[in-house]
Amino acid sequence: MASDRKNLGLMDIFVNPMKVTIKQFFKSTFGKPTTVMYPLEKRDPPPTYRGMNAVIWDLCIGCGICGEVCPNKCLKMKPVDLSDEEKDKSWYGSHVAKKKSKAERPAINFGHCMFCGFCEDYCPTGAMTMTDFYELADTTREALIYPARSMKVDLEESPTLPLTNFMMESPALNSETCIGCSKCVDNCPTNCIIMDEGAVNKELKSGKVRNIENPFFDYTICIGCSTCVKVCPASCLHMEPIANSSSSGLTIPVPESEA
Amino acid sequence: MTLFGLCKTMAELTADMFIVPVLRFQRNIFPPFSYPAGDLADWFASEGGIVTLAWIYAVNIAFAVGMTNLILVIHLERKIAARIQDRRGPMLSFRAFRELGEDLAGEAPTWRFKGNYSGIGIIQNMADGIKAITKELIIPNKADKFLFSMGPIIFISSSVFLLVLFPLSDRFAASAAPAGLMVIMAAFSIAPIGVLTSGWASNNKYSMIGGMRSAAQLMSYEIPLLLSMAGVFLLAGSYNPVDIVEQQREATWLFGLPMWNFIPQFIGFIVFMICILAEVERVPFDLPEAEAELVEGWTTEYSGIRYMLFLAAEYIRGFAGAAVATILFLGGWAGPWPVPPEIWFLLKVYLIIIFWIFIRWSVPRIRTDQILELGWKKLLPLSLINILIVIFMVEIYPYFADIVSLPEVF
Repeated sequence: MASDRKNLGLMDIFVNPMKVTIKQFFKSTFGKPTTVMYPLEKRDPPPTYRGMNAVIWDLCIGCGICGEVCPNKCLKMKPVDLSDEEKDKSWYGSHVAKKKSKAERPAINFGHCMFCGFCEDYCPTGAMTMTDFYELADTTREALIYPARSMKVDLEESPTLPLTNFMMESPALNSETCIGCSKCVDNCPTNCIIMDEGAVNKELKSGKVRNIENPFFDYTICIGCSTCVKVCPASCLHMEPIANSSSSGLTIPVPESEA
Repeated sequence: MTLFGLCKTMAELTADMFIVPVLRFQRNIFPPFSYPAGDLADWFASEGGIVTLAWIYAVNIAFAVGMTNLILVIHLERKIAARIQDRRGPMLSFRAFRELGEDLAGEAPTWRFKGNYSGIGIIQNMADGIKAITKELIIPNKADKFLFSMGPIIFISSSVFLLVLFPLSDRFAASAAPAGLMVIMAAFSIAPIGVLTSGWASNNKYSMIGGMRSAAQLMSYEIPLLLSMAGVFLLAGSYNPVDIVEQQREATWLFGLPMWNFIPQFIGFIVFMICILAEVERVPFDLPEAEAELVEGWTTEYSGIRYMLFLAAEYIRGFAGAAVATILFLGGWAGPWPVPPEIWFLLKVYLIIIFWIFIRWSVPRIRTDQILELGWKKLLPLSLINILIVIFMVEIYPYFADIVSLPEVF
């Protein structure tokens, strides 16, 4: 170190640093400085920038996958009152015509959000989007909890994306315990379930033997949201990973009539 | 017409037209209460009253000029520092508010430079001043309260005193004292006492170290500083700034080029520039307030208007130091005709200040042991060599030039 110190001359401690500063001074005075005048000018964020979320309500089917995948659990599905116009426009009819009391839309606590973008990635209909709006600072923590309606956006022309099962899971039925209540049909956001003649006949208290209807799934439009599993009162449904073929991994027994 | 002559005319006018008639009117209306008023009227009508008024005017004008320059220096420092760091610095002016209103209202915009909001941020200085004035004055619990208040008074008054001491030209001067430069250096030397007082009274170890460093710096730099100035005084034969500048204006060099003092006394010029940089405590000699080592140095415990005045006083000292350097070595207000001498003087001063700002963002801070070594071992011998050169120029060379008919170089 001592030898290095001796080598420093006037050039090293004075002339060369001055050269650098003078060069930079002329560069940013006659060119343009790197900074922008922030509140007046704003830099354009990059195309993949993840800012505040926005939900295209016309596309949202209220499946709740965004809440499932949220790592910080900052996204909750909240029941909302849809107006008639919104009911008309909503894709797949959502839950509107069903027995479930209210449609659900996501609400986000941005104080916990880490802007990972999973909700956008997993959304089966492309309703959840992330805008480039980044000025979310507020004076209280409560103000950072954004209710569902505050994130609603209306597009003039909503893009219709194909439904995709990003969860890579699909429901499977144990028909032995199914009681045929058809709650899963009522709550399915994509209407991919129908009730049909089941494999099991049960004897009622009155002595009659009656066939129990079982749910059948259309796996081409199932999005794997597991709503049916959650609402099932008899715990006869569970989620299984999708394998190569659309029907494998199911435990639905083949009905006797076909066997 | 000089500044003082102008002020005297103004004083005569105001005394004749306003002050004396008002005081006499008061005496006539309220006879029982009017004895002091009557005496005052007589005094303002006399020569002594007019000269006193003229002094008040002259000092106020010099103070206003100095304060305007202070704001400009601070603004210049901020802007250049910003550009060196690839920033913009303060940008908006009053006009920008109108343009912002136009944009928000969706009206057709007025002409703009490069499509941005206009301004170079002059109002930022006012905003900072208002902010500092409205802040709370905090005095630490265990501080020595009397000295804690006295430190700023010593430092700031001795710095503001500098403003009226140097002339901007031979006609624009609040005071033309025969020993002008000696008085300036004396006023410069008072400030470290204020620094030491503030550092001691704050009851804070960082403030204390800052004050001590200021004293050490003063010891190592005052001697070479004054010795390097001695060469100029020898050459001019006077302490008066006007005489020094006149000597530089008359001296010529090859082809009739002006020979300002920095050409024959280049060593002295270098020594003086280093020492005055240490005197005004700018980077790389800002040891008393080394913000990387001591929190804010000797100003750590100060807040509000006191802190702002400390900062302002430092810039006043910087401006005064650059002015002294200009008078001594750069020919003062001497310059070609069409530009007024006051503008020449300010141009040279600002040139030095810009050079200092560039140094500030280029070089690292010097260490305490290095500062003593540099002052005592290098600058002191160099300034003595400079004095020898001047003695050769003034006394020995002309003597031999007469005998062996050498060309008159100096």
